[in-house]
Amino acid sequence: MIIIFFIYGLAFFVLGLAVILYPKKGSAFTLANNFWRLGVFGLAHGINEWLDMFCLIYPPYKDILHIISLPILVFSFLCLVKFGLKQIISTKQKFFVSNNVLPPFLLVIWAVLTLTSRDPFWYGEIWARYLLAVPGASLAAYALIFEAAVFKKENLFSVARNLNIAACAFLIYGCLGGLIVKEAEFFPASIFNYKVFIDVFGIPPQVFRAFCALVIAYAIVRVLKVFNWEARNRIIALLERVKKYDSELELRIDERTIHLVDMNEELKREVAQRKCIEEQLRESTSVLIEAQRLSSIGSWSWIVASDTVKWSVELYAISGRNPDLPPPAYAEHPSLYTAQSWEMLRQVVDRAVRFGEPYDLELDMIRPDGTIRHTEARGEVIKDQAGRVVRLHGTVQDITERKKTEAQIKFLNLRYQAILSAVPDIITEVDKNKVYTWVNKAGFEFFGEDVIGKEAAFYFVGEQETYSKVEPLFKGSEDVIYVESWQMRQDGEKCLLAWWCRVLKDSGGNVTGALSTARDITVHKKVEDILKGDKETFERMVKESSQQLVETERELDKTKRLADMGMMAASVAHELRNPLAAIQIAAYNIKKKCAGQLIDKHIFNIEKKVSESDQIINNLLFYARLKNAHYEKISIYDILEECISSAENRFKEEKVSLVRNLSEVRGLLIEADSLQMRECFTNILNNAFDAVSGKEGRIEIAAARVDSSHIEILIKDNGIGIGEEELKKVFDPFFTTKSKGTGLGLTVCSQIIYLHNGAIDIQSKEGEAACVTVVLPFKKKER
Amino acid sequence: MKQRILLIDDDKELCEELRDIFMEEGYFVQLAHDGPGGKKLIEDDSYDLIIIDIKLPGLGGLDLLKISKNKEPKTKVFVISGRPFITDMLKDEITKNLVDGVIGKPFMVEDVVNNIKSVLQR
Repeated sequence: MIIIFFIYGLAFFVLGLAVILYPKKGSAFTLANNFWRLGVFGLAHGINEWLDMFCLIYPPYKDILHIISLPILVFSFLCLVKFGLKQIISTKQKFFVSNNVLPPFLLVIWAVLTLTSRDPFWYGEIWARYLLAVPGASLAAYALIFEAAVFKKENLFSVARNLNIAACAFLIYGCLGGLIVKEAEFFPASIFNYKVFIDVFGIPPQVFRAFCALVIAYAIVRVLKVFNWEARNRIIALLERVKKYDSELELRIDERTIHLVDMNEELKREVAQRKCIEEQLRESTSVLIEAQRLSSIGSWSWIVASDTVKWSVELYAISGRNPDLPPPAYAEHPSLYTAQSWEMLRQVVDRAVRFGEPYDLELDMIRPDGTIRHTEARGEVIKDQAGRVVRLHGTVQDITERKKTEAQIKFLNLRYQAILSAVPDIITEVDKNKVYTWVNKAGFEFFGEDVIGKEAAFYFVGEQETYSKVEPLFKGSEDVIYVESWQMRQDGEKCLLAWWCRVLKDSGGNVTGALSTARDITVHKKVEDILKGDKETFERMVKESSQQLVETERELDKTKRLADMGMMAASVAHELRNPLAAIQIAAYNIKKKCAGQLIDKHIFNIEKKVSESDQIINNLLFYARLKNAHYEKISIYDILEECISSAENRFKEEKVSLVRNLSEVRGLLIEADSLQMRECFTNILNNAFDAVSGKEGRIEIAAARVDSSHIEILIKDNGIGIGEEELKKVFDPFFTTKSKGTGLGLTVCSQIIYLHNGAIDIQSKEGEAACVTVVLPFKKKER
Repeated sequence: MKQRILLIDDDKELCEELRDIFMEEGYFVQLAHDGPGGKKLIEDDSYDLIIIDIKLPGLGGLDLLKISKNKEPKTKVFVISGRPFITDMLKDEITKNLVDGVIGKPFMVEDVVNNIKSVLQR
């Protein structure tokens, strides 16, 4: 009996330990969360059985052990009830009794029945079995069967089988442990009790109970394996999840990598684009530099406050400075320009800084090698928000070449103008309406200064077909047309003009006007007409012309001969002077050495003739030397007075009455050669005195203004006069009627007056008075 | 001691006539009739007055004038010539005081003698 109790207790104890200690954490089955209650039941019931076993081993402690074992028995059955209820409710959700109500209810009923009985320990156990063990075992069995169905669904057949086995064992145990109790006087304990059981079967019920406990322990331990399996499954599931995560991770890494590659590509593209932009920038910078070089424009900027100057490459080139050096500060600028240019620049920069005025002026820049470049400098200001000038910037253009070209163009233009004005032909330009837009100098001289803007027909003389003749030109069908047209000159003269008209076209071939040259062919036309109409007249003209030519030739010949004669006269005069000198000295020596009345007279004659010869030579020389007048302002009155008094002096032996009428020219100054004037009037007066020689002479000298620019001098005598034939020759050289003249006096006079642009004339008749008239201009006239 | 006059002119007759007059006046007179002869006398001897014709064979009167003034500035020099306007021609020499007198041919002997006397007395 002791051994049965021991096995019985051990079975439940092992069941309890196994159920509690077996790892079930994390299990998905509801059983796992509830199993511990079954475990507690097992442990408590096992201890209870062992306490019953100790009662048998140590009978004296029977009562104390019973007191201990009864609460443990009740507790174990309550655990079983709780297990069953909980399991059913957690699986089925609904049950006819509440989990929290039934156990306390059963416990209260048990306590009432136990405490009201005669022997609480004895009856307590009976009521415990009836009230707690029977429902507990039934509920547990039901729950396990129900759970077995759950496992069956999961295809865990061995677990389900073991659970069913455990359930059957619990049912049998419930019957054997709950219904078979100690004998008591009330039903059913009065019939179904240990004593009766032993009497019927011969074996105590505890043996069966122990057997049931073993079956239950075995089955439940087997069931516990399900948790192993479950755990394995969970591990596998976990592993799979890990795998899944791993592959997901790989996938995301791949995605990320692709994204990074894309980003990298994008970055590369951006870098390339940036390079491209930089390249463009560099290119446009180089284009700018090239443009500046080609146009010779340099640029600069100047921050006023910090005196920071920046120069472009071309500006270095223009100024001839080393581009590796920093640009010169504003303070160094005076050395860059000529003094005058610097002064101009200084002023405009000053104005720009103070008033913000831009500037544009031409400056002469000095290069370090001393050469000067003409430049055009422009500058502008940049102001800040407050309106203060912070920065100047601008350009410098080298216009040296341009200046040269301009000068060249100016020169060419001048030459072209000169050519056009030198051309004797008229050159005109008309627009397509035949209105004059331009004419050359000859054109202005012909048509007048107001020709521009007038239509060509304005100058036409009479009705003419000129327009219809030139029409093809303006229609563009002809390039050059010749036309003759009578036109009115500005002085009213009608002239025949021969026109060569050439069409002017624009680049599109449209007629814009005409450029024409015209020549005055009136005379040609007349000649032509004469030639056509009157051959005789022509011949006469030829004859006249040839006669004129002969006369001109004769005149020329004469002039040449006179010139040659003058040269010869000068030379002869010179050569004669030496012998004259020797003769004179010889005569002097004779006079000294052989003084005497007889010789003296002859010597005197020799000396006199030598003196006369000298006078002739002088006249000859004077005539030969007459070339140009040496002009100065002279008083004609003073000169005439001088000449008159010196003539009076020479001819003081003669009885001549002189009448002067010179008051009108007193104080008048004229431009003339005083020496030549003296010579001229001395000669005329000498002639006059000679003419009146030997009789009661009377000479009149008068001078007066004839107009605002000429004076007239009259020298009149009442002498022998001049014959008609002689009068024609008086101005010829070497012509003389006097016994002692060179024949050059009046020749010299006429030459002098001719040189002074005056006129000389003699009026006389044989035996009557002679009158010489001289007209002289006030002012010298350039020939 | 007699004052010395050198007369250089290619007109031998004129020279002889003038020599008579100057000797009469108490001067020592030497003659030359061409440029080189005159030059030799100027260089070899010294004179108080030299009268030179402008136009001379061999060497011009103006050259002789310069030679003389270079050698002895104190020696007076007269120029004698038949050329017209001789004074104009010698303008430069006169302003530089290289020429002390000009004698134009033909001339009044008394004038020339007086002129020479006054120059040589100075």
